[in-house]
Amino acid sequence: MKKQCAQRMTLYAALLGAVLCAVTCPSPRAAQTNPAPVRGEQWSAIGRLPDFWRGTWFTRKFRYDFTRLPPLTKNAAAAASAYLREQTRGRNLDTSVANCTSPGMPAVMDDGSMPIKFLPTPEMIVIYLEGYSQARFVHMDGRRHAQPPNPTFLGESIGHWEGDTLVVDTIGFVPQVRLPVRPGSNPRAPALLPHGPNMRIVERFRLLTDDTLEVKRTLYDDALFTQPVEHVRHFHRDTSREGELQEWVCSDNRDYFDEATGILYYGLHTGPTR
Amino acid sequence: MSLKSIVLLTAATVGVAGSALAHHSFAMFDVAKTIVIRGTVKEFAWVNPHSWLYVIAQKADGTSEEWALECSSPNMMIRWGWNARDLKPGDKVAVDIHPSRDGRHVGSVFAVYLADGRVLADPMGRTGVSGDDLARGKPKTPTQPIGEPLK
Repeated sequence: MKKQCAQRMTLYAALLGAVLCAVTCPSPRAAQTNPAPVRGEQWSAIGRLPDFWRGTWFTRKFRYDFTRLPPLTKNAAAAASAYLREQTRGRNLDTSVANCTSPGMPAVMDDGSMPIKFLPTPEMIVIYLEGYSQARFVHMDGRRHAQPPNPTFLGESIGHWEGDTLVVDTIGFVPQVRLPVRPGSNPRAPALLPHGPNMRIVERFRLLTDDTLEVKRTLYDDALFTQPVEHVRHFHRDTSREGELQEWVCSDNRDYFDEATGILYYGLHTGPTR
Repeated sequence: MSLKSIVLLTAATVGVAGSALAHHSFAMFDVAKTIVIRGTVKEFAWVNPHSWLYVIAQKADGTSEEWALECSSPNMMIRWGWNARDLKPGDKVAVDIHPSRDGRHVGSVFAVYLADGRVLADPMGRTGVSGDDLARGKPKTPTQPIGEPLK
C-alpha cells in the first residue's frame, strides 16, 4: 500500500513538473540563443587586449642562447663535463631530434627562422609553432594545474593577464626535453642535458613596440641549476606574405639517427628515384 | 655513387655543431673548405627537415661522380627566395658547398648558381651567418661560385 502511494506521488510530481515546465522552461531554441550576448562579449574582449595576434613572430636568433646561466648543481656540472668531453672526442651527440622528435620547451619556441603565431579564443590562447608543427595550448579559464599533469613536450600551460603582460606558467615535461648547460669555460655549443622532474617555466610576454614582443622567462630546475635561470628574448612581427605560417612535415626526413650506435645516416633516398 | 655509399658514419668527425638550428650536428662538414660542384641535377628532394640536392658532378679529368648535397628546410628556403621548381633533373648547376670531413661525396650547400644566372642562397649551410639572415629576406650571397674546383 505504502509502495503504491509512493509511486502515485512520483507520477503526480512528474505531471506537475511537465505542466510547470511547459509554462516556464525556455524552449531549446531559446536555450541556444540566450548565452549569445555573453559569448559575443568574450570575443569582443579579445579585441581590447594587446595585439599579439596580427602576423607572425620571428625570434631571429639561435636556439639555446641562454647566455647567463646560474651555477650548476654538482650532478649537472659533472654531467655537462662528461657531455663536452665526449663531444671533444668526436662522438655524435645528436638526439631523437635528428629523427624529428620535438625538442620541447623552451627550445621549440626559438627556431630563429620559423615563426610562431598567437591565436586567441575566450578559453585559451593557442601559440602555433611552425617548427615541429606544434601548438601550445595556454588555458585562460582560471584553472589550476593538474596534480600532476601528464607529461608532454610542451608541458601544461596556464595563463593570465597582468595588465598588458601575458603570464604563462608551464609544468609537466617528458624526460626527452633537454636544457642547454654551459659549465666553466663557456664553450661555443652548450651541453644539452635532460631536465629535472621539477622543471617549471614562467613566461611574461609583452609588447615593447607594436612590432616587438618581449618574452622574459624564468626557468626553474633544481636538478640542474642552483638558482632560477632568467632569460629574455625578443620576437619581431612579420606581416609579409613570406612570413606567413607554412606546413612543416618533418616525418619526410631523409636523415636517420640511430641512438643505440650513435650513427647518423643521412641523405637517404626515399623519393621517386629510389 | 650507390645508396650505401652515401650512408655516412659520422663518429669520426670532430668539432662542435656548426648550426644550432639544425636537427642534427653539422660537424661532419668541414667549414674551412669550400668547393664548387659543377654538374647536372639528378634529383632535388624538397623535404623537411632538410632538402637534398643530388648532382652528377663533372670532374676536371672528364669523369663524373654523384654528390649528395644537404640544404636547409624548405620553409626557410622559401623565405630566402627558393621555389621547389627551381631545380629539376637535367638542369646544369654550380653549387658552393662545404664538403664532408671524411672525404665522402657529401656537402653542405650555401649557394646554387643556375644556368639562367640566378643564385639561390642557403645561409644556414655556411658559417658566420647572423640571426637576421636566417629569419627571412634576401641573404648576402656571392654572385658567382667561390669554391675551389672539384678534383
